[in-house]
Amino acid sequence: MNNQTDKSTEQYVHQLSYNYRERLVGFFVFLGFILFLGFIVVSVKNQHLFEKRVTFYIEVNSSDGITQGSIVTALGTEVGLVSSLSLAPNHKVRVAIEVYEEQHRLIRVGATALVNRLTNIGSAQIEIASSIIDAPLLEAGSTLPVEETPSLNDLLLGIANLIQTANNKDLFNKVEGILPKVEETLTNIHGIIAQIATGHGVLGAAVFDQGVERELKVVVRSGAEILSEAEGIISVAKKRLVQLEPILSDAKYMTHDLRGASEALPEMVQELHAIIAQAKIALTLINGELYEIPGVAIDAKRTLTKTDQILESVQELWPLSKKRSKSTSNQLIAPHSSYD
Amino acid sequence: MIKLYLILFMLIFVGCGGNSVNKPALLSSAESDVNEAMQAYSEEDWVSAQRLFNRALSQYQSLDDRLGALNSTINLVEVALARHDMMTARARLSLAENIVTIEGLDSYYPRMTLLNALLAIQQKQMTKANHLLSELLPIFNGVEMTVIPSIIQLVAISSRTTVAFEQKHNESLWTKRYRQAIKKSANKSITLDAGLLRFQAKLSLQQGGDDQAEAYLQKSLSIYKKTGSRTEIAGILFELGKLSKMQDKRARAVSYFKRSIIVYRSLGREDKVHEITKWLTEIKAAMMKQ
Repeated sequence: MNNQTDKSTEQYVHQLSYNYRERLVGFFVFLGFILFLGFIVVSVKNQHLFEKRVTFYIEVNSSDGITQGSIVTALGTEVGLVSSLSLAPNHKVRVAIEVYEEQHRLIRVGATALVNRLTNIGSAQIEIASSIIDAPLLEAGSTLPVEETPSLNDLLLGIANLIQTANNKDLFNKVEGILPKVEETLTNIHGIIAQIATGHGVLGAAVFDQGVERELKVVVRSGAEILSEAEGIISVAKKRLVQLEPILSDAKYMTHDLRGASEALPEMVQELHAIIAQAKIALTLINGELYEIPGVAIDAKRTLTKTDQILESVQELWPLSKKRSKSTSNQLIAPHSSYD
Repeated sequence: MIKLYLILFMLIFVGCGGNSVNKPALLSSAESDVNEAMQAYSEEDWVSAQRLFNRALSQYQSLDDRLGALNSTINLVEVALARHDMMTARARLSLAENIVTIEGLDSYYPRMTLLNALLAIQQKQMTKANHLLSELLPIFNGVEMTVIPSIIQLVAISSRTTVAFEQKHNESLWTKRYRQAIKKSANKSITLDAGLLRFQAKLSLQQGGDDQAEAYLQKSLSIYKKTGSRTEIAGILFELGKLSKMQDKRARAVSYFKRSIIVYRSLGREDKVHEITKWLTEIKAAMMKQ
């Protein structure tokens, strides 16, 4: 009787014994906890949450594409982040870069920062390049010299300005306006020659007297015929001159315009050169990405195959599954007595 | 202890992540063909079974899988025997024996002997069949046997009983031995029981017990109808027709013969159709005379 009382008053936890299934469940719960901890550790490691940092500064003309948290790279690896942006006294933007202490060894004296705004649309990539790798480490708080690329927006605006400038100069309209003047000049020359040929006018009366007038008239008539023939040639040439002569006659304006255009030419050439260089970089980057695509596809395929194999292994792992490979003895017809 | 658990976890992970052994596609295809062929065999679709076993054999041969090739060849012998294609059965059996001998697969010798005996029975070479079966039969003490018979031995006893009926010698003894063997065997099967009922019907018929024979045959027929074994159904219908004719129940005999012809025709057994048609014509002629 007393024993029964003792049993009933005993704490239930002391009576617990775990069967196999409970142990298996416990094992998986514990495994899940371990995996969760593992994920946290990996996450902390990847995000450099508790890592010391060294601050450097760069001064850029525009903060376009740079935000707090923008990634900073060196030798192609992530070395830090943009921590803050502020206005510098020289009308520039002062960008504070926090470099992980472990990556500080990649920032040497003489290092320059390249702010590349053409790598990704809307965000800039800040890359620090150290020219001499044997140089001493750059002291914390230093300001790095910086090279900036224009943003895609700036480039498009530049191209639009070029087109606008050409339009503003109104060159074509001006050439078109000169053409009637040239035509009028040629008509006048034709009239003068005709009056000389007939001996009329101030010039004919002053030069020729009555005696030689007739002889001269013959000569002049001959000359007039020649000139008439020449007129035909000139009229043919007129069409050419309509196109060419006005431009030459208006050389003054042209020279003026060209001088204005030539002033901007070196700048345009430089911009064009920059555009080509950037286009080349962009194409190289795109090409690199395209080159990586087959590799990514192969990796994805391998991963899927591995996953499939792991799943198969797990399926065949007792007691997770009762799956069994088929016995080859099933492939043989059972012995049969005589056939009718 | 914690370190031990850690090592255990690591081992489990390594086991999970290990490369599983995948079957070659050709082997999977061959196994799939064999499975389909087995299905066709159970449905007594001999043509499909033969085609699929042949394809599986080619695939096993292309992989140099000797065991797979041997099993497929044995299956082809069984199909050829079911089709009463003795020439093909002989050729396939020689091939199988060759593999068994070269590879030293001793466990297959009893099956080879049994197949040779079945072929001899089909060829009506009863002495040869008797000799071959004697190699497989267990030792008997009268009706009783000293060992628990294996499935091969059970089939051998069944075949030996068939030989006894063909030779008209010791039919009763072998029928009793077969019954005892089934009782003692661990391989219980209703088809074995149905086979015994057929032997008992034949024995009853020899002893003049027509009604008892018919009762055995009807019981056997109901079992075979459950298993859907068309060859056996057709055979029993034919036997029931012959029994009805003996009992001078002609209309009933005609009915049994016609039913048997339909089943044999569905199996493509034109030889049997021809044989039963002769019986049918005789009965109809007798009925016309009356």
